[in-house]
Amino acid sequence: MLVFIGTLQVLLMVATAQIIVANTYPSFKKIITTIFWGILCALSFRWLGVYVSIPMLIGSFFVLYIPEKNNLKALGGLSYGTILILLSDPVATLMENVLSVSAESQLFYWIYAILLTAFSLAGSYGIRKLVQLFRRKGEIDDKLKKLVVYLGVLTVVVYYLCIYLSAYIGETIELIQLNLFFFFVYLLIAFLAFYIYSKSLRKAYEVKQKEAQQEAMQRYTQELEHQYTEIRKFRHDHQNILSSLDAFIQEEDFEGLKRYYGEKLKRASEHLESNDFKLENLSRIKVKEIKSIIASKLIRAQELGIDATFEAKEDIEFVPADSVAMVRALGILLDNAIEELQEIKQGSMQVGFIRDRNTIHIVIQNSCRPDMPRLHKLKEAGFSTKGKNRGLGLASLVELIGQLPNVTSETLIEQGQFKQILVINPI
Amino acid sequence: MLSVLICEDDPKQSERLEKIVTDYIMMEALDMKLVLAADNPEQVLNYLDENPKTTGLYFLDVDLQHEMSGIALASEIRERDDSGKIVFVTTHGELSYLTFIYKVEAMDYIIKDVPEEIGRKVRDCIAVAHKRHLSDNGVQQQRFKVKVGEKTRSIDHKDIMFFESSPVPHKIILHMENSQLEFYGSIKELEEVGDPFYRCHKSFVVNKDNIKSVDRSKREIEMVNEEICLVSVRALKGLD
Repeated sequence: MLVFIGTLQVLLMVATAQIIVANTYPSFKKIITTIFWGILCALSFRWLGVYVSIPMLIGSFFVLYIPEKNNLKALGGLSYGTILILLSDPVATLMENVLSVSAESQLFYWIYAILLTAFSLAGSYGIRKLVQLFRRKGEIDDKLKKLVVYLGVLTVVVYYLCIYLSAYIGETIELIQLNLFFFFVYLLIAFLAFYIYSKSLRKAYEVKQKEAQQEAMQRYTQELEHQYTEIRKFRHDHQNILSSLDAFIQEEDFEGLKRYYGEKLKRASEHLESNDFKLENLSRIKVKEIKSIIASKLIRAQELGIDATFEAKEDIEFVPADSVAMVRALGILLDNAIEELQEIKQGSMQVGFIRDRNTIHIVIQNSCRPDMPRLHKLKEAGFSTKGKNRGLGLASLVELIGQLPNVTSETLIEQGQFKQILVINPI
Repeated sequence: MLSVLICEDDPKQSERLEKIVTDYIMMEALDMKLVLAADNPEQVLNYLDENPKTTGLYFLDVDLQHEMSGIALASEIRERDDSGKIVFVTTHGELSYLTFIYKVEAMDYIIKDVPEEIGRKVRDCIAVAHKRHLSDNGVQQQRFKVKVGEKTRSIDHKDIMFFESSPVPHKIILHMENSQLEFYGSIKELEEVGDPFYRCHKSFVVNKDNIKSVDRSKREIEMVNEEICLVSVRALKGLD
């Protein structure tokens, strides 16, 4: 019977590891090797006692390692599988105590075997799902993976060390001290893991930001090229217009000149008012992050058919505020403006950067519905004109700007216009 | 008396403006006078330096063919004539609406591209400026002065609901009818502004003239704009 349990343990070690990390079913050869090694270990229990777990683990490791040659995977699977088995063992024993099965009977072993198998397999399946979830979210970077695996290995080593030591020297004060030491090591590792995790999150966020910026700049460049061709066309027209004017004057045909002016020139000046020239001031914004967020939002607004203009009469070379917070704040404000204009299906929006000596005023204003709720209602947490739980409200914007000590905000609703002004004071 | 000053580099345009202005003043017999039609910004500034008490209505071309643009000139004028009324004359392409309003607090702008409109717009501007000038000199309203960026804003006491200290240190939020304005300051110094302002809570100073009702059990004050301001138990007494 003991041989059976021993063999089962080795089988379970390999099986749980396989479930946790592998994507394929184990080969026939693998199963046979495992069973063979399990029987061998179980038979040697007589001489080795509790230390038999060492050859068990080493054997399982090689079974897992040899086909794929990926030690991280093998170690990770094996260590977490083993932890599961080690955890299932007391649980199974406890349940049998509750069921009051005599520890000596044949039945005890059978139930133990079944419970052990069920718990460890179910547990490893759970871990597998968890790993898949994290992978889907793309939040596992290599460093973190390594750390988790080492943590697992360390846990197994510590666990066995405790078992061996208590078997060897019994429960002594040294053992308790050792446990305390392990506890501190764990704490340290936990902190390290948390640190690395938070860092990788931040990095991922930054990469995403950069990508968005890149994309916005690309669109901006396209827009500029488009404008450039428009200007070339216009210059060409301009030459033509001048030469025809010249012709009218030479012939002193003032009636014709009048007609020509009314028909052609007026239309040309209307052309100047079209969307093509409404964002040209963007070139005065030299802060890349800010230029890209504004370009992307305003180009999108124009694509949605919104009359959106940008104004900056002076170069803005530097904005003395945290760019991540600024970009988020501008993003929220511009989105709000665009959404409102889409909702009311008319009106326009203006965005401007105005420099007054050392202060920069950022103005974002848009037409809004005539029955706009009062400002203090809008600023309440969780309030949105778009119904419950939608959109980032003004409340979160207030929080965001609050972090920036040198930025003050002014919000007003007047004459059907919603106006938000951010004043960036020099530091 | 309100002085009218024109700065326009194109003599044709300038002449047209001058004529509209003098005709209108004469026709309406307004207490105004066209004192200067300049073709460059320095003349305007010189005039203001020589006549420092001027309160003016300024018609400024934006593109002056000079190193100083109309907007820069307007900023300079603001330094010398705080309550002057500035109107920009510009082409559509040079229209910088937000800058006009937020940088120099311009009163209005006139677009040259639509010649038929110029006369009407100029006359409107003169009428509005004249009216404002009269009300500026009328009953002096109590005003609260606050620095925002490089500018000092002055806000009529009756427009103020209450002041609230922001969770962010040193920032105060000024609540008005339908707007909120942040500035740097402390509740303590606002308490000293005096009537009708009353320190009703450790982070609020309320304008007593704009209270609609006081809910003593909830310890809340409802303002005339339906906004809620908090009141402490101790401060309730002062609201009787």
